[in-house]
Amino acid sequence: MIRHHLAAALAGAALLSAGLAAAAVPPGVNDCLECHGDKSIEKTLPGGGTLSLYVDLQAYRRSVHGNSGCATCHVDAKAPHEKLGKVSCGRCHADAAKSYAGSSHGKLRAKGVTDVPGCDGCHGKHDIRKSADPASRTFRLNIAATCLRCHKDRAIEQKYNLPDQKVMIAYEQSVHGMASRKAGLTGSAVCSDCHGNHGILPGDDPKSATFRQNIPTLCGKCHSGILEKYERSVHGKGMRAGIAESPVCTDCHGEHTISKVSDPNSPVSARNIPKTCTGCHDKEAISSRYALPKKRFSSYMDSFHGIAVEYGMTKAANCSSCHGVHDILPSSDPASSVNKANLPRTCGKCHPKAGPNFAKGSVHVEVTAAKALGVFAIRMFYIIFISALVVLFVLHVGLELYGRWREKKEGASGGKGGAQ
Amino acid sequence: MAEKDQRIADGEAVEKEIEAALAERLSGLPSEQADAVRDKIRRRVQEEVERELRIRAASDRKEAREKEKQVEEGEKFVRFNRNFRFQHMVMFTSVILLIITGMPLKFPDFVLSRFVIGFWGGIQNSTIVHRIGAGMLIYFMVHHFLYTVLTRDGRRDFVLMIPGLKDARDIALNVRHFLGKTSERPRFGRFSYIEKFDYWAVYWGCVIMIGSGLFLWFETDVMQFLPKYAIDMAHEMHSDEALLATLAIVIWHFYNVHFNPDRFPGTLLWWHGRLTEHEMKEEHPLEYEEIMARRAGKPPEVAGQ
Repeated sequence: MIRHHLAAALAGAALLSAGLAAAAVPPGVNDCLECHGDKSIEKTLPGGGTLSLYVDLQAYRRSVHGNSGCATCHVDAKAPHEKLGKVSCGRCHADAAKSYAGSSHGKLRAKGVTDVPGCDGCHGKHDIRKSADPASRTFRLNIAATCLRCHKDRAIEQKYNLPDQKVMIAYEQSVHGMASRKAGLTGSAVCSDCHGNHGILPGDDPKSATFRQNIPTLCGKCHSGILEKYERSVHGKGMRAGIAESPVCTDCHGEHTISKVSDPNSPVSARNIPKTCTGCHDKEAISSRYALPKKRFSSYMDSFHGIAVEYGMTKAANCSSCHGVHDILPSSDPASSVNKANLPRTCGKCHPKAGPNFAKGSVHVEVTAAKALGVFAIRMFYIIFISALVVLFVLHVGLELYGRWREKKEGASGGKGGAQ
Repeated sequence: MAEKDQRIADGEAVEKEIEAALAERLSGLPSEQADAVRDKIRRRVQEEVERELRIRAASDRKEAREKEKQVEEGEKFVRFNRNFRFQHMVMFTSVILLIITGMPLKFPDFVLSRFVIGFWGGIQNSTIVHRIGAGMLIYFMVHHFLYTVLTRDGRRDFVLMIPGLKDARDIALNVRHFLGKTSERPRFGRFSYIEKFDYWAVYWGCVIMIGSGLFLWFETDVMQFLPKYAIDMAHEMHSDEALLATLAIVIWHFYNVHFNPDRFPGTLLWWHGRLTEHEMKEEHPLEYEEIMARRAGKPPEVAGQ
């Protein structure tokens, strides 16, 4: 009804009377488009550039707000008008506005930093769509591109001391990124699944979902079966007990770079897992602090298993073949796959006839008199035997060559003597 | 000249015989056909005779050359018989295979190791090649054992290989000779102490390597009876003995048969098994004298050869 009146007034009256009418009643979409429907409408910015003031009616009509009027958001709009006040989405979306205000984006925004996105930075302006709409910037499959608009920008990364842009762009090649980009799986994790959306916080903030202690819970949102195993493992228990060195998901799998176990470049691939585990288990400080057995890597690499894996025989046992993966338990635990009582079964996964003799002797053989006397004695014997024989060989060969040289010299000088 | 005349005469006699035979067989045919057949056969016989003469002449020349050579170098003595040479070839082929597929496992950080494993197309293949080499070495060991027990040469050589006091005296004398203390040199029999060492090193090496290797090859079966630390000990033994064997071959055997200035870069003894009279006198004077004495003592046998 109001619109009807307005239309009549605008059609019949002079510009001045129209202005008076608008002061009383908010202008409708068609009123605004009188001016903003013109593609060439723009304003000059203080810096010297120009800003287009054109509004695409089609896009607006298709947007989630397309059925309301301009004045719903631009509350101070009248026709014609000077610069309008800021649009506040929080008038309707109070919860989102509240969590945004607490986020790292929001805090910076409050300080007047304009590089960080406001609502429109991610959601758009007149063309905002529901996140369930595949054309929306916040549709699951589009979120990575939306975030990466800023987060692969080197200038921004450097200006705000963020991780190198490669860190985040690596997501595109990760198992999650490939699943959403290539296969279009909407169930695959996108940025906001881990980092949150409006309330996004940096990983070092204890309230952040990506804070180290929160990571197992975070990954467990989707990988709940694995979380359950992890919670029972020595690593999971240690992590929940607040032991800082106890690994969480990302310590082994990586973060943005997470890839499949079958990917040879993955830190948890059969080829790389010994190095990944020994990243902690070869550290003197960690082994000492938690009284863990030492020399796990070198003793593994001395075994045929280690050498074969090093040369690419991935069917040979790596750490996880015996110790397990998410469910690793210390060998002292009767439920552990490497508990002495369970070793025949664990070895039997690859060596079908494995019996109790497999458990007699250490698997990680440390060649010392105390830990493996037989092997140590053989090694000592051979060190002495080989050294002695090599010395004798070289001595004999050297003596013979010396004898030949001496004979030749004497023969030569003798010959000369005879000639004189 | 007389020889040639004899040959021509022989040829004529053969021709006459053939003519007679042909005349009898072809008597039933018309004369034209008979002539054609006769011509054809004559030509063929002629060709055949010429070919045979050429072959004879060539073999005569070769014989003459060898006679000449023998006068220069003296008699050839068979040191290693065909059976023994075959054993040696099987052994060195298997040992080379075993070393090049085994050493990369002992020294995975060595720059060439990755290349050598890659040469076989990965570790899956190189472990198969290692087992093929192992099979050859086991075959060699069995063959040599039977050779030692069953053949006269084998039994004789085995007895001669047993180290004795003379070897100790030879070593002492050789060292004094090298140092110039004496001009006298040890006079070796069929096997010098150097060769005896080589032989027993292989014996010892084969026993340890095959024994420990079988433990590793059939580890699951072995562990039906023995604890895991027995396998660990076999592993250590296999690895260390492999290094010892390789060093013994590379330093001792290679010097004595390849890099020794008298022999560089090696002789073909392993292929033809023969030594010249000069080499026999030089390297195995006692054996040479023994052979000569035996010939003098038993003249009929020598004359028979």
